[in-house]
Amino acid sequence: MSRKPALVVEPLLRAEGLAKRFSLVHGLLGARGAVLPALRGVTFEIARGQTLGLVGESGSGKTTAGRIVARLVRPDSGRILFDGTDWLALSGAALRRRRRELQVVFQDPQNSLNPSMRAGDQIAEPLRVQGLARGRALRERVGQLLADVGLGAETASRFPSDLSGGQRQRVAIARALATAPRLVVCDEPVSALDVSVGAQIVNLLLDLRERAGLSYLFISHDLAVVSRVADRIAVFYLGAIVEEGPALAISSRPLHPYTVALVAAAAEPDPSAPRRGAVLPGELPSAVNPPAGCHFHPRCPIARPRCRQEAPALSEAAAGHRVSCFYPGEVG
Amino acid sequence: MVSLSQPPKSEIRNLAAIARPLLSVEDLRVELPVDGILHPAVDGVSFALEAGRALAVVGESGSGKTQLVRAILGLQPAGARLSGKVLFSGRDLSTLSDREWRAVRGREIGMVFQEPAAALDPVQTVGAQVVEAIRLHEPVSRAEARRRAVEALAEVAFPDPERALGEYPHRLSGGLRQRACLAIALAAGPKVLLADEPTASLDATVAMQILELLDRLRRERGLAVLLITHDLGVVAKHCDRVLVLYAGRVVEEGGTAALLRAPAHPYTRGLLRSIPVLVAAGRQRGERYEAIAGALEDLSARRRGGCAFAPRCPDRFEPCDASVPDLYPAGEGRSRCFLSREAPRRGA
Repeated sequence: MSRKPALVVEPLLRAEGLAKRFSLVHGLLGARGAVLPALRGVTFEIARGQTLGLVGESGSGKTTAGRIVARLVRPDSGRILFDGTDWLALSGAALRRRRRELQVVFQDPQNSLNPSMRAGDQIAEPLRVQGLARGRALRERVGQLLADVGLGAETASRFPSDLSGGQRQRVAIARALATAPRLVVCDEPVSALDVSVGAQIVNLLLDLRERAGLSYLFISHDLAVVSRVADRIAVFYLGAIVEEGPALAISSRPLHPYTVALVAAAAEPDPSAPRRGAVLPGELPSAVNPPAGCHFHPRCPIARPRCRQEAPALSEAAAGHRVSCFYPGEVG
Repeated sequence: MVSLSQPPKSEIRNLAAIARPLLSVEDLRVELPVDGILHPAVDGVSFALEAGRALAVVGESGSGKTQLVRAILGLQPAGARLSGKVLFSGRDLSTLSDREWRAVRGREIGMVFQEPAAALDPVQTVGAQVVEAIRLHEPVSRAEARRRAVEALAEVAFPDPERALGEYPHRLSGGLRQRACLAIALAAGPKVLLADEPTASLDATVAMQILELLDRLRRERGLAVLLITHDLGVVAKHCDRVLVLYAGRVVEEGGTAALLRAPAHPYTRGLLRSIPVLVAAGRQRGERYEAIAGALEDLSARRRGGCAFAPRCPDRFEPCDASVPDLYPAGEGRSRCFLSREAPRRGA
């Protein structure tokens, strides 16, 4: 499928001011009718053929952002331009038609695959639904997709329960690639896998990106994995992006004190490697009642009076490198 | 630079009993039934753990680490067959009755697991659970137990321990729940702590806090820690020695620094190359991992006649299929690989 080259290099995807609040279920105690702002207006871009990594701890909003892009969750406000289309305005037949261009790979293939359906049929399903192939052509395409993800043709007749965790994730990736998408949202794609199997899957995703010219929105709690895959990284904290920039800059010259702590916590199996940074005190505070001022200040080693009163905006600290901190780069 | 994996010398001298192992496991074998046939999930594992030390047991799914922990605690599943010895301060635990076991678990050996939410009772306050753990092992008054519970929570750096007594687990964050589990595990004063992936469900910055806490407990009260983990980054920073398990056998063991710097077994080498390390300056983005090919077979499909890793091993040669290699000396440790048997000969 050939497309007209764009005159202006516009990003493949631009998300603007995404915000989402979830109402909490009435509990036995407290939290009655409370509202959890999972996302507080985040903006990011994915360039064509590039990978944006979203990193942050549980509750940071990175997964909600990914689910909004994948049209699995509707934001309260915000806009997404995907390949020039107002992505959130699509519905009905138009959405079904365009869905093939944006696919998702989830954390746990055990849950994302249908347990009572053979692997080959699961990969064929999107092709059939979209009317992209049938009969012999369909079977050949499934065989090709299995080969692309490093599985033998015999896998087509297996059920998910006959497959290992790594094989299941390969099937899920083959299914995501079946419709030749331009963007794949990968939500913690290796977190449920053993280390040695996770490494194989990351390699596969890197190979596929090269071969198929894919873009990824790669979501993970593990900065080390993200730094291997992503061109740019956005660091999430309590529903907002606190730092965003080129992957190498984020991992070698982080500017936000929270990113500095994440870099310090990233696994380094070299016992002689220096321990970077101090251990961050406390935990991610409740998003229902976030701290005043900069949301990070209660855990921040360099918080000053201003940080307790004012919230810093996400602003450019270096070319293409945004950070929301009044004192960027002071912790290192 | 001081090696980070070893406590400073002065601290080691403070621990008088350091030479005598608190916990030793000798040739432990756990066979599990699959379709009526017994297969060894743990196959001849031996190690010793001394006071104040941290031993890491590293392994992926199917390595046998979970069955190893359960066997040490006398919690093997129904139908399992055990052989070998588990010695606690020289006493053979495999001869204990169920009642004697209950006195050992908690009092002599504490344990924490991956999911603190699952380990805690959701309908009891943290205080009630710590008090129960204390009174289970010691006939102290309720007031005395309560005082000790506050101490136990303070020891694991629980902020505001007095108030924490009245909190229910669901009101706590993941990190605080794991601290509560630690307080319960340590309430009766055990000398050994079995920690099975204690930080795997926690966020990175919170995991660091829990691991630093375990380090402090080792230094301050000479607690011996058996840390089951898949995370070699954690091992590098927090353990003295490492056992690498594959398909139920120890494939490599040694001091942390030496083992991680110069791994001898092809599986350990592959595992180290599979770890996601931060791609920072000097490293290449998009660089592929030198991943290990294939996957470990299910318990019932494993070959027992040769090296279990041979089907995935890049260095496989003829002897690997003929017999199971012994643990041969390799560097400062030992490696279950015929290459380590050949190496000294080649050098001579």
